[in-house]
Amino acid sequence: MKSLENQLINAYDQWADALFRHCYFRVGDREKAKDLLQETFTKTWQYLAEGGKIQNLRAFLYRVATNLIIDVARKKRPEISLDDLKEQGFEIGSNADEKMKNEIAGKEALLFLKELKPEYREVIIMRYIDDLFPKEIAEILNDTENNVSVKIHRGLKQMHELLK
Amino acid sequence: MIIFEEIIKKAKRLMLTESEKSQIRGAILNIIKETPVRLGSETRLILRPLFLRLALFSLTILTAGAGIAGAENSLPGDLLYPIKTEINEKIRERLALSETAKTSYETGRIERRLEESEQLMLKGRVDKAAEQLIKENLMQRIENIKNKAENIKTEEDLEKAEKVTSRIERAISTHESMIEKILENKKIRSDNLKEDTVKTAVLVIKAEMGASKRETKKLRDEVEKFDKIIKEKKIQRNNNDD
Repeated sequence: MKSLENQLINAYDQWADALFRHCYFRVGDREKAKDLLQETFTKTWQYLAEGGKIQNLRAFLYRVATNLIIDVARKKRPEISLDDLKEQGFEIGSNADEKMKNEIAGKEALLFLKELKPEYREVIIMRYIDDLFPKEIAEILNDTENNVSVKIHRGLKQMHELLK
Repeated sequence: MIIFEEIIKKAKRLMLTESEKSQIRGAILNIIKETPVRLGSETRLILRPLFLRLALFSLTILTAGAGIAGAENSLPGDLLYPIKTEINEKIRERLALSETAKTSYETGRIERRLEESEQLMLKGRVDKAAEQLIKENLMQRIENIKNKAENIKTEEDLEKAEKVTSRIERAISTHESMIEKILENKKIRSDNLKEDTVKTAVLVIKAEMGASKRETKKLRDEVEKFDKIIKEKKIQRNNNDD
């Protein structure tokens, strides 16, 4: 039987990228997203160390991350401008390595996602980027599946308007 | 016009660098070492999803050495047959055969509704078309079909699920371009609001189809992994018998 430590680290190996991605598209800053990722896991460990029980580790991690993100949103939201994008993206030609290209692609996606209302952005990211089922999203956000679906549809509608 | 799927694809490319990932991992490990587990909570297991629990269950049986069907040496043919049957039966209980039939029926309905909506729009009745889609609660239906993907654990069911999703996808692609063309035609008198609703309906369906594809692939990967483990255990067992 694997120790708690091993299980948590396995979870990290498996979901670190996904959780990082989620945090990034919510707060719009890479460094901040990394901090949130780390804090998500350390807070989860503290919970476990104090004897807390977890049924669905993935959902739990997302819930912790979501709560941390809300705290961040209350303080300050860093701006990413088109200029930043131009600086990094358009001046670098095909010589840009894979990592750089991925980062740029991410930033482009962020430009659209950050225009969404926060409550829509949250579920859109969870549904289509994190690939969570609506049932899981409802569990994470402590909401009903129906409300989650409604938010997803409204979010997509808003995206549609933005993309015109 | 930029497509939603493109944005999602771009978003998914974002990831941590190797060094970033290991650096954070190290930081977490440090905190774990500094925060010992309270006495008595060591044994608390983080429960896994049902699928993995079933897999572990079957592995325990294999390694325990106790033959499911009685005498080890006289198991006919495939050593793993009894275990697979047991698991399959458990799964089939949950996913009644009629579910697949229901799913097929539902998919047929969706296809027909889309066709009907298109016919209506061809006749210039955009409002009626929108009404159709909304009344049928297509979105909820597609959601239901895809939620069933959670219950799919066997290779056979996976194939069925894939067939279902590709049917829906084909229906969408066939109709979407027609729908778009019709809506672009300014001769059609329509309430702008309703037009939007139809467009949104198509958009939602497309987005969900993209997600559904990814989900099916993940399930396929899981089933493959499971099969691999079974095979390896089989070889191990055979070697031990020698």
